[in-house]
Amino acid sequence: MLTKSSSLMRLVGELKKLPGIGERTALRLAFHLLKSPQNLTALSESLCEVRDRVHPCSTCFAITETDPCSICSGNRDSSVICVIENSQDLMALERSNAYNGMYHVLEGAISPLSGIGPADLRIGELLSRVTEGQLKEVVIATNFTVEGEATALYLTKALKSTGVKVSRLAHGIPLGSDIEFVDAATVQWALQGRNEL
Amino acid sequence: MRLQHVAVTNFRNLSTLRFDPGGQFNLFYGPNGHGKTNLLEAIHLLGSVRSFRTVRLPELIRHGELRAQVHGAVESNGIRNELRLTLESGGRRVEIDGKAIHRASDLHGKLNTVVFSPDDSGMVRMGPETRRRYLDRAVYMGDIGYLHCWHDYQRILKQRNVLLKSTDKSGLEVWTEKLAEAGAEVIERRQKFVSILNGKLLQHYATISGHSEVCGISYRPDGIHSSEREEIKNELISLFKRHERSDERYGTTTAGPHRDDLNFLLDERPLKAFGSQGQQKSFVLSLKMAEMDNLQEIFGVSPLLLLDDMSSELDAGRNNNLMEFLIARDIQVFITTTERSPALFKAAPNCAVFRVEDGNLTFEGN
Repeated sequence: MLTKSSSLMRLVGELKKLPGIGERTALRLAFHLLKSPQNLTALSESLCEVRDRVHPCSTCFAITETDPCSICSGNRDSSVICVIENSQDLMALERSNAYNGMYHVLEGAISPLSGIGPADLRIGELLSRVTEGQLKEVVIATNFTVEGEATALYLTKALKSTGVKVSRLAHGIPLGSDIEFVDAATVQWALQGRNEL
Repeated sequence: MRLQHVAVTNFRNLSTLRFDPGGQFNLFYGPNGHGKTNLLEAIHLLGSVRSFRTVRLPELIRHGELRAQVHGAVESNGIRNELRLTLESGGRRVEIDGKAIHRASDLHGKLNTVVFSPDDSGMVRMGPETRRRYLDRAVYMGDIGYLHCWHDYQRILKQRNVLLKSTDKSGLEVWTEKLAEAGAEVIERRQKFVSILNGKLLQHYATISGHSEVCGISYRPDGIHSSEREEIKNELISLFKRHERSDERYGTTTAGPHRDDLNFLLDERPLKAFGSQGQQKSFVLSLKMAEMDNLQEIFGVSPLLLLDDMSSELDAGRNNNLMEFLIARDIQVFITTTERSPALFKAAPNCAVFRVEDGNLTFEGN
């Protein structure tokens, strides 16, 4: 019989810490892994590999296995920096294939409720990159949440003295969607931010 | 708008209950504490997800049960929708025609109800927060965009208040500006609503009271003189700046639209202090009629009226006025009383009568 301190229960406990995973799912996953020793080995190895190899880039703070990361060291337009909240956002922007500049990951957004102030984000590092480099533009691509918008405003104010051009990602009606199905608030934003043709 | 079928399961003291309401007047009578108001609350909840009583979610679920459900078939402009609200300890879920909706705003306008309960008459005498809550609810009913800016405002306010309490106040300027931005939209939308409602209110009050007093609701947001969003925002920023020191001392935002009051006026004087009991009753009734008219104009279809135990509020004269109004606009009405045939119903044709006892419902005929 398994006790609370058994290794399997420890695994269940660790799995339960993951987002979206509760007691039952954790149990199911643990028993599933137990069924196949190969899978278990592969998973444990890849976990260790990730722990040892992945770290934030010392320039842009995106997660990477090399330093500087492939984007910072690659052949890209270094006159534009796109500011994002986390590395997942970077992947989304890269998938678009529409952007060829640099990135800067803030590692979060300002949120007093979560105890995150401007000093807890990579804003100081961003400002030094802007003042040191030959920069033309900073594109702010923080989320369109209350916290992301506040962060965007903070950055705009902080960047003002540097004289660099600051822009914000456009927001409005998603591509390929019918206007009739878009919620009222988004339609309002889209109307306010309409473009002349 | 017509509610054609209602089914309630495990909601407060109601175990299972299903009925087809009449097209015009529906009377629910029975002793106090047997579930009449709970039934009105269930109908209201189905259209708005939020209760008109102040309440925590678990209280709505019948004792010992896992979930409460309210189901209703609504006919509006020739279209029939099935609405289903499920309340569980984990949260609430709404389905329209069997499909789950993800935003509360998807339910907007599907089932419009105006509630008139003793709490509404009490509104005149209560503190500002009661009238502010009424205002927010009433604005949202007819203005789908209100919810978004109101939620943003509440969220930013929370963030700013946490920051005011902490020792490191860096970023305060940003939260102040964001609060002003969202607050300006809240104020602008409230102002628009109040000005529309005022015209209608005045007209109904004149009919009901037969007097020439000038009545009105007045929304004068603290520190604001403009009615244009950009200017309101600037005025709000200066308001927040003026209160910054006291904000920091109390660790909370001490001024702004979350503290504003809605004033009820009679001949430019506060109704609370200068209006008689009768004038106050006529005022609140006119306000409710104005609300119904406003919803009818916006949606092109009349809302439902939920009248909760109003026999003490409506004398013969006001009662007749209300009946004429309801019949002229073809409004479906749900009324609770303790008596079988109150004065209210003398003038009401096509009235379906239901007896409510111990959470059970019996149809007693038309």
